[in-house]
This record gives sequence, structure tokens and C-alpha cells, in this order.
Amino acid sequence: MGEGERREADGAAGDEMLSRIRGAIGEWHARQSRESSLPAVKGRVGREIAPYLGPRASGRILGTVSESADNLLSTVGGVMSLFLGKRAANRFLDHVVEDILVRS
Amino acid sequence: MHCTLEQEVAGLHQQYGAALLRFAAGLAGCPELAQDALQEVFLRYFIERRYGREIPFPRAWLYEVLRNYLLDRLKAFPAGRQVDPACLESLAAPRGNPEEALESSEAAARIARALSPRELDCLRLRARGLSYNEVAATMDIRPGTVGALLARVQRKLRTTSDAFPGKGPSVPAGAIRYLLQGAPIYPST
Repeated sequence: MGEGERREADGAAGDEMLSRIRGAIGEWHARQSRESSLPAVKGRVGREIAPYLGPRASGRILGTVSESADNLLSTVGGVMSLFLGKRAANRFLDHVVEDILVRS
Repeated sequence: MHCTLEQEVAGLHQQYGAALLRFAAGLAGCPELAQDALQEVFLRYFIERRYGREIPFPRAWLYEVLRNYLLDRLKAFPAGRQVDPACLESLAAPRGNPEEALESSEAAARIARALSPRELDCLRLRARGLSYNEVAATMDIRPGTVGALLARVQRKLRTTSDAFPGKGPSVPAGAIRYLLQGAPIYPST
């Protein structure tokens, strides 16, 4: 296979992979709309951080998260870093993402 | 916002997708598993960014998550590495001279046995063009440790090259290529 043909094959394979990724994102969006609401996601995250911060503080912190939750992880991560340190806070966020956001 | 995020994902895929897929294939030994892993990793990247997580080093993040995902999946295999029969047809036939390919494969296996899993990981990531800081972020170690691991790899490769009679002082290039890109020779843990 010549260099040009190889590039073309790589390009086609890349396009196919990107379609798969877009499809997976679309399916995740559809699942989100069907099965979980943002308040429910915030509630579950609140239950995860409550053991560290207490329920009132958790509620106050989640109260600052936007309606669309597009600052959920940066807000929670910032606060948890203060209590746990950066590395442990990152591990905590990984767990939140895996168990609540990806699986929901 | 989601449109911009999708563009961000598409941009990262365009930049790093091919290299990530080769890395995944080298680790997984199975193109299908590598593709599944890549899909999962980019989906995860999208989800994390959707909820506002800062990812300052996307390339290192993608390699780290991909590596961890594949290591978790591979742990589910029985002891020792096995290739899923469904993947057998898609395993690449040896390119060029089959005798050379066999020699490279055996040489790569000797090298892999000489290296610890961490050293092999470090070598693979560095060979992908990641900086010391990116390798460190991916493996969750200090940059100094990356240097130490690579120095050990060099010493071991020099020692191992003594086992390649007639090949001179350096490790055959084919063995290194096979080690980094070819079929699974990752030592079972």
C-alpha cells in the first residue's frame, strides 16, 4: 500500500472512529434525558460529598452550581481540594464521574 | 455549549486519535478492544468537560484514562494474556519477511521480560512523544521518576542487546517497533 493510500485508509478509519464517538455521545445524551434529571444528579453528588463536608455545607456548595450543572465538577473539585488535597480530590472526582455521571 | 464541546472532542481526536489508537492496540493486543477503549475515553472526556472539569493537559489525560481503562479490562482476562478469538482474524499478518517478523517478535518478548510493567509503560508513552511531565501525569508519578525509569530501561536494553548475537551493540529496530506497536507481549502479572 502506497503512502497516499495509507493516509487515505487512516483518514477513513479516523472518520469512522469519530462517528462512533459522536454516536456514543448522542446515546449518552438520550440516556440522560430519559433516566436522570440534573437535580437528581446534583442530589447524588451531594450525598457523596456530605460525609466530608456535612449535609448543610454540601447543600450550600451545590446551591452555587448552575442550573445546567456545567460548573458542577469545578465547584465540587475546588472545595474538595481544600479538604483532601489536589490528588485525593482528583481521585474523588474520578469516582463521582464514573459512578454518577458516566453510568447515569 | 455542547456543540463547542463536540468540536473540542473532534479536534482532540484529529490531533491524537491515531496515536492513541496505536497505543491502545499495543496494550490491548486486539483492535476491537482498542477501538472500544478509545470510544469510551473520548466519551468520558466529553462528560467530564460537560460538567465543568478542568483538564489542563488533554493529551496526558487521554493517555492516562486510556491506559487505566485497558488495564482494568485486561485484568478481567484469565491469568496470562489471551487473545479473544473474535480478534484473531483482524490481527495483522506479519509485514515483509516473516522470518524477520518472528525474530523481531522474539526479541521484543526478551526485552519485555527484562522490563518491569512500569518501565514498559514508561517506554511506550515516551515513544509516543509525550514529554516527561506528560508521562508523569499519565502514570501518576514524578517527572524525576520518569527519568529514572527511562535510565533503567536504557541500561536493561544495553544488557539485553548482548543477547542479540551478530546484531552489534544496539537492540534491533524491528524488536523495538514490535514492542511498541505490535501484538501483545506485555508480561502477564
